[in-house]
Formats: sequence, C-alpha cells, structure tokens
Amino acid sequence: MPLLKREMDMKQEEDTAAIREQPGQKTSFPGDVVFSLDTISTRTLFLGPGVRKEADNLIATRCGVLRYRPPATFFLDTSDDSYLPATGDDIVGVVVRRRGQEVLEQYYMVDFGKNTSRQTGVLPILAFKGATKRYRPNLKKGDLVYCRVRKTTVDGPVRLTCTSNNTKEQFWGPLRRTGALYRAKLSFVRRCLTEGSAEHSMIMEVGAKFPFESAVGLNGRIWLYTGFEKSQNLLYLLFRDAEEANGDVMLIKKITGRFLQETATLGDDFPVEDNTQYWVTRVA
Amino acid sequence: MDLVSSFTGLRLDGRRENEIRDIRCQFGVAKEADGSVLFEQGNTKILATVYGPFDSGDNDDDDGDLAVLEDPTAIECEFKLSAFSQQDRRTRQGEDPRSEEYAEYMETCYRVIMFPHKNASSIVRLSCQVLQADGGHLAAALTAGTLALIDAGIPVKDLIVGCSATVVEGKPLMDVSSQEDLQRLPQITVGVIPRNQEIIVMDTKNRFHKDLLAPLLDAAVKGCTQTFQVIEKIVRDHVRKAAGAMSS
Repeated sequence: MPLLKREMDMKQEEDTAAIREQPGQKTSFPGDVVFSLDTISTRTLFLGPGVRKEADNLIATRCGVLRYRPPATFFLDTSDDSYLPATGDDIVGVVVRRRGQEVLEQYYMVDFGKNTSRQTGVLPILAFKGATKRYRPNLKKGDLVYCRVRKTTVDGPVRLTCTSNNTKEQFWGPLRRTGALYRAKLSFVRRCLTEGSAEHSMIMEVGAKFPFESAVGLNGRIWLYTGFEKSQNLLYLLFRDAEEANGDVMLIKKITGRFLQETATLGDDFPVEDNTQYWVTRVA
Repeated sequence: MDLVSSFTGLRLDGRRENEIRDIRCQFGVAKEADGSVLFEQGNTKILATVYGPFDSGDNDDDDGDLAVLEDPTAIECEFKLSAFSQQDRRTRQGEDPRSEEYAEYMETCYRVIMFPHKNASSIVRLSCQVLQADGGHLAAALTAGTLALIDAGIPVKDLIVGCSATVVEGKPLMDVSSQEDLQRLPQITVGVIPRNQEIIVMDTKNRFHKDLLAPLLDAAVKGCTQTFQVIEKIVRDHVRKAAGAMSS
C-alpha cells in the first residue's frame, strides 16, 4: 500500500514538473493551444472556465492566463468583469417584477447582472425563511434582496432562494431600501469575502468599532446600511477608496484609520427614515 | 488617375498591392457595454459593442412549447453606417438592405465560432457602428466584432478576421480603400478563421469573370493572415497588461 502511494506521489510530482515546464504565465488567446495533455499521466481532468479539450490539447476560449491546481484542474484566469452564476453563490439582486398566477406558484424575477436587467433569476415567492401563504415578504419592483443561487441549468432560468437547510441563521432576505448599493469589481468582492485579505480585515476592523450592516454579493454588488445619512455616505466612500486601493495593504489600513477617525468625530447625524414593511400579513 | 501608378507601382494611398492598412484598436471604450472596441483600419473607423449574454426570453412563457428542435440563436448582430461617416451626409429612410445583409453575414460568422448549444436561451447582441467609412466596411466589421466579443469575455473557439480584395488590370489588390471601392471594380470580401484558413463567408460585389476568383480569393485570404498577425499582437499586449493588473 505505501509503495503504491509513493508511486502515485511520484507520478504526480512528475506531472507537476511537466506542467511547470510548459509556459505557465503566458497569456493566451482564443484558439491557442494552452496545454498539451500527452505530457501528463492523469486522464481525469477538471476544466474550469475558458478552456476546452480537443483531441489531446487544451484550447483557450478566452483571453487570460492559464492556472493549474494539482492534480488536474485547469482554468483560465481572466480580467473581465462579468458575473456568471454558480450554485451556492450569495448575491444581491434587484426585484424586476412578479410573475405567475396562483399565489403559491408566483415568483419574483430578480436581476443580478453586472449591468442592469440583463441577467435574471427566479425567486419563488415563498422561498423565504418562515414565509407562509398568509405571512410573507411583499417585494416591489426595485427592492433589493440578498439571496443564494440554488441551481443553474443550461436551458432553464437561474433558481434563487432565501432559505437553507444547512444553517439556522437567517442571512438572506429583503434588504432595506434606504441602504446604499455599491457596485464593485468582481475581484474586489471576492477579496472582501476571502479571510486574511486586506479588505476582509478592513471590514472586520470597522465592524468591531462601528456598527453597520452589509451584504456582499458575489455578483459585484455591496449593500451598506448604517441607518444614518452621514455615516452611510462615509461608509460608501470607504468601500470606494478601498476598491481604488486595489489590494494595497498599507493604503487600506490608512483608509480604515481615517474612516474610524471621521466617524468618531462626526457631529449630529440624521437618521434615514425607513417605514417600509417587507413582511406583511394578508387576510385571505 | 490610375489606381496603381505605372511608374512607382504604388496605390493612391501609397501602399503596395499586397499591403493592408494600419490597424489600431482601443478596448473598453463604451463603459455601458459588456465589451467594446474602437477599431481603425486606415481611415475606416468602427465602434463595435457587445451586450450580454442575457436571457433571450424564449423560456419566459410556460406554454409547454418545445423549443428544443430550434437552433439556438446565440447572437444578434447589427451593422450601422452612420449618416456622418461618408463624404456626403446622407440619412437613409427605412432599412438599408446592404446593412441587413452585412449583419446576416456577421451572424453566420460568429455562430460558427461561438458555442450556441452550450448556452441555449441566452443571447449576445453585437452592434457595429461605422464612424468613418473608407472602404472595406464588412471586412473591418467582422474583425472588430470578434475583438469586441473577446473583450466581453464571451467564449469563442477561434477568431474571425475579414479582408477585402479587388483587382486592377489583372493585379489583385488587398484591403480595398474607398477610392478603389468607388471604381466598380470586381471586389470580394471574406471572413476567415486564419489559423486553418477556413473561409466562413464570402461576399462579392460587381460582376467579374470566374477566372479572377482564384487570385482574388488568394489575395483576400493572405490579407486576412496579415490582419490576424497584427491584431494578435495587439490583443496579446492588451491581455498582458490586464494580466499584470490581475496578479497584483
């Protein structure tokens, strides 16, 4: 048994070496052969976006840099900024309209595209935690909702949900209208959600000293809410500056410090009125 | 005036017979679009914008119709010749048959290189606006459209490059400019996948003898190869810059 394992390890090492030998950091171009498969021994491949297999070659379908994760995962890292929904992504969407006949079969069309109303998914009207036929959120056109991608299919709509069987916590649901919506680059959003990154620690540091609500959607939309006018604007500017910093740790620390100072010295702040009742009870 | 000088053998704009015009392009010009490119070939200037992919709306009404047998659309193209693009300002009433034909050519081309069956019921809208017209519109639009698709990050198998060719006194000329275009000479435009020299569309203009077809095609395909070499370099430089920003 150990021998077999060692052999496999050796094989994998050989593979890794072979992959290193091939130009790794080379930028590729649609139609380029990015990788030749006859140099590696594994036959099972995991192909991510941007590559396709033809005969014994991997061919690029977009512009980017080939990335490799052992043992046999290949994908093309691209700089483009369009969101592709994947199962399990948490997103911030905008309700576009409501469709369907019977109450139980109704659903909201929710737009989650990078640009407005180009990519939509369906969110069933009762797919909220604790929603019943009589007591449920009543969302209008333009309302924001934080939801999770449940399923994506090739030829069907993207299915969204605000419930989960795995967690008891209730993150998902309608977001307050008076919050601020910040549109960021997808790379920035991903960094915000990665533990250990400068952006993530920024959010944690600010959150420890200054109460605010936020919903970070993987589709490049960040919803921010403090309940007060001035501080919400400052928070928005903080995120904007942090995105412009482009991952610069020192700069982000500086911005965070400045933000905390500004909020500490903030004079009287005006509360933002929000009387919208999202959850309503209907009498038959 | 001769189109090709008998003395120097040069064309009116100073090119040789087998030379294409200078190509420049600028990516990401239209901020609202998902992908855009301002493509210049000599004095022909085209703005190509890509919107999408988004839901084509085929599945919107659940009336139980099976749309499976239909071929997915994948792409919708539009070709527009701006009123201010030519020497005389002209505003056309109604639809322009030539523009529609060009749009159709573009659709056929891009459907070959895209993956329509992988994302059925989603659609990409591509629009090519000619800002300056100086000949070879279809050829330039084909090239610009591909670049815009790449900029939008839409998966494509390969590139499509267009080039036009004409013939003057038995000599084939590559990449037609408007001065040559006006002479009602035999003219041909091809859309080619340059890597395997596969011709996807071919458009002919004005009558010509069939013996001229072979040299014309040859010149046009060679022109495509030249164009490809130029745009390949441009795109690679562009991606390298973007990749630098990616790693940081």
